Amino acid sequence: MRSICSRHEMHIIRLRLRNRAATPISHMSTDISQQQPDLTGTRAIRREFEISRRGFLAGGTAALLLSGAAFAQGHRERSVMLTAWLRIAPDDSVTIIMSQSEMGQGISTTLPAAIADELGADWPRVQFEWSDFDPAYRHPQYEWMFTGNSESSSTFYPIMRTMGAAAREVLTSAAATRLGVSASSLQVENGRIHHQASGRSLTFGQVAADAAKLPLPKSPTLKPATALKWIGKPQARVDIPSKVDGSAVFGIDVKVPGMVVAAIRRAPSQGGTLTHYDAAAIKAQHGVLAVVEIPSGLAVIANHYWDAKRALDGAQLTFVPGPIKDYSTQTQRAQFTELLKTGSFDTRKKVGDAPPRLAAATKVHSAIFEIPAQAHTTMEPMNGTASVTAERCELWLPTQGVEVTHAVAKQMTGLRDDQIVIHRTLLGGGFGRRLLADFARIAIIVSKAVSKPVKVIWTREEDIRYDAYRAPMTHAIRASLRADGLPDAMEHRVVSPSHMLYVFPRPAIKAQGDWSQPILPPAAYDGMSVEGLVEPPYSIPNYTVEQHRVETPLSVSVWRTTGHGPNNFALESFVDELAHAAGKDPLAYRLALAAGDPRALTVLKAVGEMSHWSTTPPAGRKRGIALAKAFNGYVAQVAEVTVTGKDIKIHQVWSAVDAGQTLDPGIAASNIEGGVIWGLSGLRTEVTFAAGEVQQTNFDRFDPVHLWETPQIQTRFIESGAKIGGTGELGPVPTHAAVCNAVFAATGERIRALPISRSGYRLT
Amino acid sequence: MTRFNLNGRPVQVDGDAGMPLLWAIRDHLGLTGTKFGCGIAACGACTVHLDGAPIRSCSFPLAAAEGRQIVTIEGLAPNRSHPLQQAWIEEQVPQCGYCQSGMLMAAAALLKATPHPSDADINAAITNICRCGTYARIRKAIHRAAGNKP
Amino acid sequence: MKLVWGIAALAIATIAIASAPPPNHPQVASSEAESLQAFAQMLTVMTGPRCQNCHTLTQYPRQGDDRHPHMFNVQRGPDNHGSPGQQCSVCHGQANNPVSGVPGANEVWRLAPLSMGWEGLPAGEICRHLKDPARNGNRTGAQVINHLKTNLVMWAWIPGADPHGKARTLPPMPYAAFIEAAETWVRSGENCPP
Repeated sequence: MRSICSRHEMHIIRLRLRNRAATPISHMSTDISQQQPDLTGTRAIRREFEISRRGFLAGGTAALLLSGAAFAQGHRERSVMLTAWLRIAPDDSVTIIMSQSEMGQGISTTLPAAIADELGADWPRVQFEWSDFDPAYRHPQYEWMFTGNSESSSTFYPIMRTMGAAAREVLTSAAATRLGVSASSLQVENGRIHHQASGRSLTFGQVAADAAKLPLPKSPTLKPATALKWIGKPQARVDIPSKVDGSAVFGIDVKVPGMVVAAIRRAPSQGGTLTHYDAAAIKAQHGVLAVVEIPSGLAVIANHYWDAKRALDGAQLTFVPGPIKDYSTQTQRAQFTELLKTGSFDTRKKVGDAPPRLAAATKVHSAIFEIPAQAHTTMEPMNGTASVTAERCELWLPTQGVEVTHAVAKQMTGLRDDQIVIHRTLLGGGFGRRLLADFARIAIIVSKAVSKPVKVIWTREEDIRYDAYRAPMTHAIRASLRADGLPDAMEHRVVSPSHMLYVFPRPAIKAQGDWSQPILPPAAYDGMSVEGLVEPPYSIPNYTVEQHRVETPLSVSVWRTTGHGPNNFALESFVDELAHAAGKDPLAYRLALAAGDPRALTVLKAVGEMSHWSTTPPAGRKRGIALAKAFNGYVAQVAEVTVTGKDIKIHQVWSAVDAGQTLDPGIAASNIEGGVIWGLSGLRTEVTFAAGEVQQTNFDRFDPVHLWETPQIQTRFIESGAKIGGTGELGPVPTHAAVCNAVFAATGERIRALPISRSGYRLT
Repeated sequence: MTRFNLNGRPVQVDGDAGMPLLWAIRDHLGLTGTKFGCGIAACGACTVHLDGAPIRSCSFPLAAAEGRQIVTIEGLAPNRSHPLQQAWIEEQVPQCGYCQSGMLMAAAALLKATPHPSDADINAAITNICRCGTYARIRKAIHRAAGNKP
Repeated sequence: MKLVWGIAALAIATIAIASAPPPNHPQVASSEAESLQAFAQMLTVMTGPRCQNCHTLTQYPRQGDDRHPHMFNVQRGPDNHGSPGQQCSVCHGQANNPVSGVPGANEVWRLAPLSMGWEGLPAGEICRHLKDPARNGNRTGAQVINHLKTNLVMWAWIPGADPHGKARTLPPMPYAAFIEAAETWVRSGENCPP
């Protein structure tokens, strides 16, 4: 086992493609004037202890404080762990353990910066490692380890502060003992503990071993905000240097010694079966080492990817379609429309009593909204690398779903927790797709079959065909207005599959289920289909939200913005219709509707100011506005467009964002800016099905927004000081409605069905 | 056997003549900075330079590389010193980063052809797909690297 | 032009002509009809997408049988080779690429210059373009024929398959027949419909 460990260590070192020394950057702005910490060469931690030693204590932050037992690393340098998040080596290097995956949202900078700031580490010189699965890294409320739902900052930032403070206190105590002074006379800065009075100091490395023997304080004292150096200010992202020189390692880039590569091809519709292939003929192709059956298809294994791909492309594979063979978008749309009338609906929100008031109203406004299925199309296609032996299951994955992957690996291999190792790489986009364990599952199957490490690479076509799509939805909204034009009664019906089919909070599952099948969460937990509707920023005296959960054979799961995005399109388009019916300005109308929500009012007023809403736009341009309360934050957005015939040119998008407290304004801004592009793309992309087969299998037919279509984007953050919200998915939420409301202003036409091509519109 | 020059060094690849150069670079020669995104020349993640001009290496057969000079992102400049790489860092362009090798190679080709590109020039030259939506910062960083006034 | 007509007048007509010749100039009439018929055949090829997608009158090429504007904001550029940094050769290589589905030919992939654009033009206009040195790349009839034998033009008959393996549709007549029609047209007077 020791020799294997050292071989694995070698493997990990080989993941470094570059010299780790950070490059002095002479042209940096004054805010970022020094050498920056650099994630280049970051490796995954290798757990050398069993899960049970971590322990999991119930409740809150205290659960994650470990007793300070040092985990000596054996043949490695004599580092010590202080909490589950920091490793300090005798050479003073501080390694921050990252629980959250980096998929572009910048979390690998912000959370480490928080712990380093609180601790007093030498931030430009810290190193980074992604953790494996461990209960210590679970989301405390969901009891599940994952990265997603725009919750990483809000969940883990307080933990980072607490852990950093706890580590600082024990280091200080150890130094105080060593120096024979009081702890209160010591200051910690840049990795050193200073005794001002005598001019003596000790480094972290010098006292770490002693500190690790001390019990961690349950309620350490956090620094006041004024004492923080990095949090709240834009930091140079630690992952950016490796992303501009080709050295960043994504899942698809992983290389481990002895590794072979697999190409896969599966039935063109999900759930189909491979019924015939000529294994001998495929194996006779140049370079082919093996052929392995996988669910719905085949993997061809070779030393070089192209040999495998070419053999597979030339092979005759016969498939029989599966249960989805009759699924078509045309039928789905008709079915959902019918279900609006005939389906059984669960009430998810009830204020007052809308139905009788609507029945009694002289005029009822109504609209039906149709929202398509979507594919994720992360730029890095799905892939996974697995090395499975009788003793060990080692995975290298660009994953958001560490715990579910661990559970699947355990079920598939029958190995113990400590025999399963997950190395995380950077993710070339996540958007919710990489929360699932399917790409790990296939790699495990193939590795087991060939008894070698194997990297499985999906083509773009496989990636889209075997996506778990954003569910299609159909909404029906009805409302009656008061004399003052505001709604008296509103009823919002949602027909939608569950968005949470494959992802669910752990407390919902009493016993570990069969991980090979999606588990439909109990209705009580399945809130995504009505997100943004059940806690709107608006006061409506009689308001009902109802949901009919469709059982669908389509593979569906979470997609960036989850339910908030599609639901906001319906709600904010409809609110705009009501404003128009009432003869009111759309901004003024929303201010009145949101009168009871100060945070909503603030972002609305801010975006009104940013967009000069009260002035006439330049000639030929019209504006639309939308408000969203989502992911514990608020965003109001205005889009300014020109419509020529059916061509929509979007000139500007302004966003006013209240995410409580902005931990890193630069990163938050990039999340919102990128989010606007995601929202714009969603106006024109979709996946449709005929005979169970997806019709858009590559970027020639799934066409996201490009650079030449990008508008000017301005973003302003309002620091309300409220609980931290998430910015990863917030930006796109109001974008559909902001643009469609602008199109209405320009044309008088309401777009109620997406994509916009359904009513002939194009983005230019 | 196909022989060519890669980032200033002579290399050879024993592979199928029709293999996309992309896989020769990534798989046979071990340089993974050039990315696979679509395989149909639609996304640009695979962009490299061939004799100084940009090509999408997923749509370029190995045999056609014989005797040519290929430069990948790893060979664009030492130590991230290319003005575009510096600008990408100053403007904090990348998010997930997967598309950025191709973006930088496309931008480098643009600047070679048009040292002070207009927005229209950038629109026409940078057609790569970024799912994270970093386009606004890409545009800004190209202007910065070109020394264009903001 | 008169020289060509003179040669045609001296030539022995070998191909039967469907329409009756006008009474005063029997050989010229049969040449003219032959020429018009040959051009009509050429037109069936030239109005197809394989040719018209690059013989555009716009600042961009087109793609596909439905002739949609080329994706990715591809532009004509200053020399018909694409914009700086996005030349056609970024994607289009020296042969059709069966892996990516991107068409290519052993010639620099490019648009025909605007002067040689025909899309949407009536038959007579296309015809007059073809024989006008100012609008056909300064070519004589024989040089026009030679142009039709270049790799880019021949590509229309070996256009390969799209990224999903679907073969691109061919022009409605074989290449040899097209060349023969073109040679007939040139030889018989390069007549144009009104």
